[in-house]
Amino acid sequence: MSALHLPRLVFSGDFQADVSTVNNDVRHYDTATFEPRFQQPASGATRNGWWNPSGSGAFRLIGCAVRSVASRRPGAPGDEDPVATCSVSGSSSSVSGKLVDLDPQWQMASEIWGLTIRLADARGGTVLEGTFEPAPFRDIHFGRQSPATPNGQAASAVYTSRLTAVRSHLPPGRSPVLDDLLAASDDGTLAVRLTTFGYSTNPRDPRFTLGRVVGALGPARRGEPHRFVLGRRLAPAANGVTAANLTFADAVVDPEAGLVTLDLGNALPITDPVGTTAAIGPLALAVLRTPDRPDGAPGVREGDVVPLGDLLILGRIDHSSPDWLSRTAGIVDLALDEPAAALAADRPLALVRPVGNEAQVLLRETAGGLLARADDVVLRVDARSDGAVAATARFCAARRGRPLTAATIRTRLELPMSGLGGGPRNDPDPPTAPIPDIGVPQEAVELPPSIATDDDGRAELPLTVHDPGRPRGYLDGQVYVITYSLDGQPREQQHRFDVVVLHVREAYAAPAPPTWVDDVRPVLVQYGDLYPIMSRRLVDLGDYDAVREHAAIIELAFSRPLDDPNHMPVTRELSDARRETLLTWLRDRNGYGERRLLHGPRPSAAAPAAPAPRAASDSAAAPPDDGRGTGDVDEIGGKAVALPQALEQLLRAAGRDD
Amino acid sequence: MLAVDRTLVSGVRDAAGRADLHRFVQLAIELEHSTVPPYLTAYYTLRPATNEGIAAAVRGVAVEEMLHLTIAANLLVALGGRPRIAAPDFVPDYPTVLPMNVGHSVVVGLAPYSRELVRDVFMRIEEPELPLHLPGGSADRAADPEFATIGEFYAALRDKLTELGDSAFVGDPTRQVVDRDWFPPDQLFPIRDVATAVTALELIAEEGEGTSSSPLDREGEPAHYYRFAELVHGRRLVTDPSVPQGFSYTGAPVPFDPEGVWPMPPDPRLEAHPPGSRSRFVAERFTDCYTRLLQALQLTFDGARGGLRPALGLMFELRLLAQDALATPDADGRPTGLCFRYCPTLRTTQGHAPVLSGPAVTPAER
Repeated sequence: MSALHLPRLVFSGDFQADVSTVNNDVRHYDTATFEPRFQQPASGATRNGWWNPSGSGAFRLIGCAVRSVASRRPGAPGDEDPVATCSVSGSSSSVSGKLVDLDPQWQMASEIWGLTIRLADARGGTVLEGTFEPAPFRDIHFGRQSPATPNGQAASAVYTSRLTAVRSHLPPGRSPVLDDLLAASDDGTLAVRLTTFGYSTNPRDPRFTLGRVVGALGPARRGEPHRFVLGRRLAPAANGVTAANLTFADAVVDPEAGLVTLDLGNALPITDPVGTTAAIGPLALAVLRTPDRPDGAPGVREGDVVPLGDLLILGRIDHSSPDWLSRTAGIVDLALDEPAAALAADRPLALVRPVGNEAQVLLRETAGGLLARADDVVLRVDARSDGAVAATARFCAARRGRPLTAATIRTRLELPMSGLGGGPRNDPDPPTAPIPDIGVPQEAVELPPSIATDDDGRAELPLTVHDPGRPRGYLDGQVYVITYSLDGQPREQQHRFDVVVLHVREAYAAPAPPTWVDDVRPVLVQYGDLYPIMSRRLVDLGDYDAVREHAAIIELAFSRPLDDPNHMPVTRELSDARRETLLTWLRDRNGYGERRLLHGPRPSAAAPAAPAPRAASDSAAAPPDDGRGTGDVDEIGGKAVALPQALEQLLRAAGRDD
Repeated sequence: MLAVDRTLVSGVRDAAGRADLHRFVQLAIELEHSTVPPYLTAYYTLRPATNEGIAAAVRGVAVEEMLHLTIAANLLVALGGRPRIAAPDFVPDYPTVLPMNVGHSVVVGLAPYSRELVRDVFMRIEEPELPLHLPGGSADRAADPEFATIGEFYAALRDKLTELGDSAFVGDPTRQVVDRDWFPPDQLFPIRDVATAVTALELIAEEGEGTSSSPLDREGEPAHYYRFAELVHGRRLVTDPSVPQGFSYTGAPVPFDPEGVWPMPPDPRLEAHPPGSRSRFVAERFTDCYTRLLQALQLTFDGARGGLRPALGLMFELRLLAQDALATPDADGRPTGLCFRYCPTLRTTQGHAPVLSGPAVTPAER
């Protein structure tokens, strides 16, 4: 089950991603060379703290509303169903969710944390709410919007996940659609899919930090992958994009329901930030009657023009009707009769453009109908000094939507990568710190060269993680990228960023007792540098007296679970051992119950020298905090810089195979 | 100390049982809350890293008003009532006379920090029954027979609770909200009986007005009225053996830099900003967060786990959103104002008629 299954609620509206951009450049993590200007907006070609240095990390759903309801109940669900007129927003009583990069050197798996998704009635009363299970974006389509909005993001991406702890506030029978949806789901969960695009990075735009989101809620069953749709996968033949600027799309074929459902929410090109689809002609979903060859090569290729007789048209796509993407989230249900279901069971699905008696294949199912994806895209691992740590990444493989048994998934730890997380090359005044390599030392991560799927098409990749030490010097831990491919499937039919990323934190032995100078300040001052919204508007984390004054709230934030929206650090990159050290320091009390907050340094000679106080943590020396920058004409988004860097490194790695 | 309509004091005295007190304790909750938006507005309009002494003082008073709100809500729960916080009329429609006629019918609005605001509004709100006339300046006013202070109101409440006895405390003791991280246990503690209720109400009175002989509360801090007077006089209140009162405003200077204030237009309205404008957007985010704060408090007093923690996190988000709003110029180039409203149906886009459908296309339509 998934958000592609019925019953389904479709919603759309705006999202706000008030991401902080000081951490877009890894060199800003070096507290020794940090400059106050890195907390200021870009100025001309000089990046400084990029386009939103005072970002809070907040991720909000704004002005979203249910736009359509698809149900298998006979006839359309009555418009008296209360879910049909619900608004969709975040929690009514807690802080906003957060959107954060995994690491400055891997910005291709940014995750949403601590988001509640809530349906509310016209009076604001909660109808249904659930907790968004943290998930990274996938299937990023970088040039989706053309022409691009000046200073806007042309990119689009999908978050596929679950809502957990789903609670309905309606009595049974009040909403047949909701009753059906909950009955079709296990364990108080729902499937959720958010497609985001049209994001503005221009501080002068009224929609600065806003974008459009189209989303869907559907049923979820236990045992199914959470972070992708296990179904049929339409994939560009190469480079992740077709000649007509289409990208990956998921579909599910459900003969029992007599339905085929195609999700074009992320796949079709758009012409504006609202999501108006490009004029790419009439579209239809079809089954190609020509089978793929036994060796897996496609019988009909992307771009081929074939006679209509070679196709079984399942239905037309209404993508050019007004407001289509916002009304449907790009998800199309088409009826499937028995002959069509039989054909679709072993022939490729394709999105075609009918022209006269022929049709051009614009996007087709993967060769052989193969699909293999990791459900664990991001793994956070705390290394230990006294031995290796085990971690597991789960995979599923399918052929034409059915579990693929005894299939081999090749896995590989990528070689070290250089230059990730730096700023654009034309910055006349870049930070002076070196850019560390990722993926070193390689010996820190061990994995088998391949894994095999079981009878259910599932496989687990066992990982053995040793302490990498501190190879990046000024920032903790290391990033490792694991690529994978399904035997028999061309690598280019996978999204380039369909990889497993390990964030490994160095082994750390908590000192006793921790002190401000030795243990706490070195950690907090980095966050103070990177999140000026904290250090300049709430608590200067590099200042002992300020931290003492706000010790209770800092303790609270650092002690909240990772998925709590209040959790600090917002980036969720601190190892448990370092967090415990901070908490031990904050919680240590004297006989009167007062916090000790030992200043230090420890008398032992082994303690590292405290960094010299700098102007950056001296609020008096910092420029006045008047909020947003003015922006400038050649402003670019963080992903615009990070993506080509990561892509170049991945392609270089792939090239070593060939 | 807040001044209130004298009829409320007699209302408390006339109460026949605990249920008769619910209305008055709810009013106390509303009253304690009603000062929070004006004080927070003054605090938020002080730009970060400027006027730090003043900011700390105003923030400190606002935090104590939130403590008093919590104590009053605990009392209502202890008496078997349910605090009503997440409701549109819980937030006064500023500018307005405060609930219970607090502040001698002074109209209280939401305005940026100024000495005049503190002198003409905040000090009147907090005016003690018998203000101590302390050397170094005085903004004190003669007592008005139509008004009681909230001290008298709370005293009447203490007397009535003593008269009703411990049997009035029928509320579930596990629903009492305490949070050591935010308020020490000698300030915020469970109210379970007459003794704890009386102690809690005395604390509110002292933090507000000090005692009749000293401007200090039991923590040795100047009461609200005198803390505000420090800001007006520009000097700290210190012990002064050379004067008969023992205190004077002759301590360290409390400097005020008017440049460090966001010149927010007073009593802002969401509707003043065109839909789709940035100022409307940031103003709505602030209102939305304040709404969530009230809803979090409602859940807290309805027995949700986590005590004041959800509200605590929201207070920080609120401060960030306040700075966002104030740093965003409106159509006239002025800082976008802070709209304290309870508005659970806030939307930035118009609602759409939903499309209701089964499968989009049937085989016959192909």
